Amino acid sequence: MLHKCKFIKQSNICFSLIPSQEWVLNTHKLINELEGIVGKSSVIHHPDDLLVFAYDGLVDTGTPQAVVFPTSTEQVSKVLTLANSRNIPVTPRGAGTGLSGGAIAHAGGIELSLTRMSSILEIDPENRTALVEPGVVNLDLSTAASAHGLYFAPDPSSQRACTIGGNVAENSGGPHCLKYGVTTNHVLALEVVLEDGSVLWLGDAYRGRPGYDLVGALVGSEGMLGVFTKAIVSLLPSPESVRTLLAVFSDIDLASNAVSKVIASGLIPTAMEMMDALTIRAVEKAMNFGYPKDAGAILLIEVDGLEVEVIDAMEQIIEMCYDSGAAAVKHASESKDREMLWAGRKGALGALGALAPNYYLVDGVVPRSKLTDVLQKVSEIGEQYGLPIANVLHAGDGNLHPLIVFDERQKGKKEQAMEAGAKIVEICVNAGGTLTGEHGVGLEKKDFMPLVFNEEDISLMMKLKDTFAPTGLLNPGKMFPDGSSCADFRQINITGTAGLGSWI
Amino acid sequence: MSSPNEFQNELSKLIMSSRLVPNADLHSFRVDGCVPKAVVMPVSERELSELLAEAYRKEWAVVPRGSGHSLKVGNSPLKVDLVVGTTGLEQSIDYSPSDLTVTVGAGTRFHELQSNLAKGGHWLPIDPPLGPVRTIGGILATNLVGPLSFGYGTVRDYLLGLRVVGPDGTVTKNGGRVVKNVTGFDLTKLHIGALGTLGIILEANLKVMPLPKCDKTIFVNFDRWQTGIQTFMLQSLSSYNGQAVELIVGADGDVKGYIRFLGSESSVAARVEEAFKLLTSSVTNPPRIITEKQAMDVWDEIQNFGWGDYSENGDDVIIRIGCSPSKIGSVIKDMFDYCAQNRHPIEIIASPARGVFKCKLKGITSVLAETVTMFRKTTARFGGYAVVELAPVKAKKNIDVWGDPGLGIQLMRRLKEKLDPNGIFNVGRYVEGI
Ligand SMILES: Cc1cc2nc3c(=O)[nH]c(=O)nc-3n(C[C@H](O)[C@H](O)[C@H](O)COP(=O)(O)OP(=O)(O)OC[C@H]3O[C@@H](n4cnc5c(N)ncnc54)[C@H](O)[C@@H]3O)c2cc1C
Repeated sequence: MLHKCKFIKQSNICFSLIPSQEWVLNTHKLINELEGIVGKSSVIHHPDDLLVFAYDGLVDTGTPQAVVFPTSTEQVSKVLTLANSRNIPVTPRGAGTGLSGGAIAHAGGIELSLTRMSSILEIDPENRTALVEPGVVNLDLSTAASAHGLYFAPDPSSQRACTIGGNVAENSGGPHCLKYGVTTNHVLALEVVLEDGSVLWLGDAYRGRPGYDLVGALVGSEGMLGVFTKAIVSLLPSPESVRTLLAVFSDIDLASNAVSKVIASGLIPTAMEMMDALTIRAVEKAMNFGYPKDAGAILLIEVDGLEVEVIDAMEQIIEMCYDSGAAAVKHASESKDREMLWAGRKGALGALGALAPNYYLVDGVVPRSKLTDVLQKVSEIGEQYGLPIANVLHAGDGNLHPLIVFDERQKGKKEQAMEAGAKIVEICVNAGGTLTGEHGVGLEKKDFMPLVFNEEDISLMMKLKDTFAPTGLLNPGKMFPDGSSCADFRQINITGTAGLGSWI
Repeated sequence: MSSPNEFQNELSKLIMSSRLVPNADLHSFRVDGCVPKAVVMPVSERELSELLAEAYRKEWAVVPRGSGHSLKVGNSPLKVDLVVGTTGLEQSIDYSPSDLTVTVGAGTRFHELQSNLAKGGHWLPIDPPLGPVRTIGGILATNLVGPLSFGYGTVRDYLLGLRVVGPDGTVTKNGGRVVKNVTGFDLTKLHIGALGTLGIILEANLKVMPLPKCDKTIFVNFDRWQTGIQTFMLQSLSSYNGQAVELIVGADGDVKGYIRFLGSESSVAARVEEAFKLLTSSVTNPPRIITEKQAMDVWDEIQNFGWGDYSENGDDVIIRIGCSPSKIGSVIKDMFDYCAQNRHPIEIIASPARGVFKCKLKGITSVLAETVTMFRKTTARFGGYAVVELAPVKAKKNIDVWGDPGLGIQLMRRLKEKLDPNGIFNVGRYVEGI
């Protein structure tokens, strides 16, 4: 029965239903066939083994019938052809670090893991491009490119674990996208397998070929339009010089002011990150950096470029920070010292984890000039629900990540946290912002879509889906509202998913 | 639809006559020689929307129009009933300097937008042909790019959100007005360079950039095609740190190289010095910095190459060729040799770092089809493409100006069918007859 339904609402399908004999037989057959395509060692189907793949970064679950690990485009194509002929849902999956449930096999079926397609096929230093398989880990690409003085600009904080395929599917950002843009600005061409198994290359190693920008539509498509099996991405030259500054302020307003001053001066730093008092205290407790006890906000600003321009910019920024009331400013140019300045910011997630057993990490964006107002409202929400909310934000982009801390063992707290999260998202939208700046809609926010888009806007998106993937078998049940809220919370052990040194 | 008169009668039931361009003027609104049956300049979105709803029902062929300057792009339309202009719509510019964003009506002229942004110390760092006088909608829809796209990217990198009216009059939005946004599928990119075949752009949200404080241009004279040029080109992508790098190859075969540096004083000074060092060791003639006035003229010339002096009655053909930067030298050489053999005078501006060059050819209209075929064969060998950007209407009839759009064509067709099921927008002007 599983493969007869297009959309199955229950997660945990294997366990929540008593499988019928027919279902068991069909599953058995399916697994045989999958093994025929990718080999026995590349299919996981034992319920215990499947558990790991029921999660991504959003602890909502959905257990697939099987996880397959293709090693070539051809195998991906065959798996999709098979799934299509049987009406079986397919969920593409990278490293599973997504925070909106994109890689969860919500409707059961096949999870298609691209992690064994992880070769960097070519780095072309002359044209500053790389041809990669989708399972390449983000940081590995930059490491490989560094031999040529190049790097891949999008740097999600999960970059030690997340894959290029996942980055493309989520149009991921990172702390340094203030200056260099997000993933979509760096993807030139994609090899994509459509749901019927057909394989095509879209785009070019250089932009400009006539025709609709289908690559532009595929970036950020959350695994719903096609499976990426190769990508050509652009690489940037590593900057000659990088400097980092850490400024301590007595409150968020002063720090936000400093951000505005920098922007108004005409400088575009590579990163402008902020932490609020709660985060600072948690970090200080965990790591002992010697942050002032009464610090209300810490700002991290990084600039890069030629040595002269970096020195020049940093001087100006230091002055602007002091002008805005900074209590202390530190800056560094050596990579080791810069890392030290970043360490608190990077350790924030782990440190906050010590505050309570659970948290709900919200992703919202507002126009930068509304940041102070919105943060004020976020803190009011916290007070209203009696929940501590820590803020770690990409201040330069207006992208905030309020982290609602709670203990799910206390009755009603989880629901309250979810409600508070929803309110925060609403505040962002009302301030002229939107639901998500980088984590995606997925399962988490699909029911919030009507906050931003009306039926007609959404129906146009559906038409794009019908263009690429009319059957609805590819990553079903995501992005579009269906009336039931799927937003969820996650356990602190999330850092286990993102690997060592993960930070938001 | 029969005669223009009947057509106009029908229109007059829909829209106030003051929105209609007088019959006597229709001729000046022709699209590649096709005189429309009517030209309407709606003043509100509502008017535009209602008009389209009717056009959709009646399957009138609609050509959206901004400033009209780039209506000559694309294949000649198969049918034109109605030209719909965006410049009559109320245009607003809502600019927020502290957010580095602006919302602008599609019919707004680009120079107006730029002068507004300049007041806040910002600009949109794009320089498409005839940029200043064209509208934002037209610039997005044609996606013609200029030399600055090397350093700053194209309008694609600045577009945050769009409001669009579809063929049936439905107004939709996509994206937003924040610099990071992954809320749902990104449909905005589909309209860039789509020539208005999927909808009429009403309004765009754009990201803006700080105006650079300093602007310097280095000039290198190569005299003739020589090996130094190859080095110049190879270094252009990685070594000069300029925002634009261009070569002008004159009809007499003279080659000139230009590198433009924009940014803060200290940054420009440092980059210019470095480039000087590099150039002095790799080219024979000494590089030099040209005056502000000279620089302005030369970047103007490059930006408007082929467009500035284009005359409908002339016989210039402008072909744009793209391939990867490392291959561009070989491709140019092949084109050059071919034209020399066939005695076709050719001028070229090349942007080696972007992997694009444009050729201006004269006197080839009678052999346009075979020339284009040859150009496409050559570029295809290097994985590139060749688009006829401008050509006399007569000559266009024998060619497809776009060439091969690649493997995505079936998806493109499907997309067009989904978004414009009655096929009313720009009939036949886009790739593969879309
Ligand atoms: C600690 C932590 C920090 C984070 N920091 C950031 C950050 O700074 N910025 C940011 O933007 N995100 C961040 N994220 C979110 C996440 O890491 C990114 O969304 C990342 O790009 C997901 O990559 P992945 O390989 O884990 O993809 P997955 O989670 O496995 O999948 C994500 C989506 O992509 C689809 N997909 C994966 N591969 C393919 C493919 N080959 N073809 C088609 N679809 C595919 C899946 O179906 C799913 O919808 C963070 C997450 C964590 C846990």
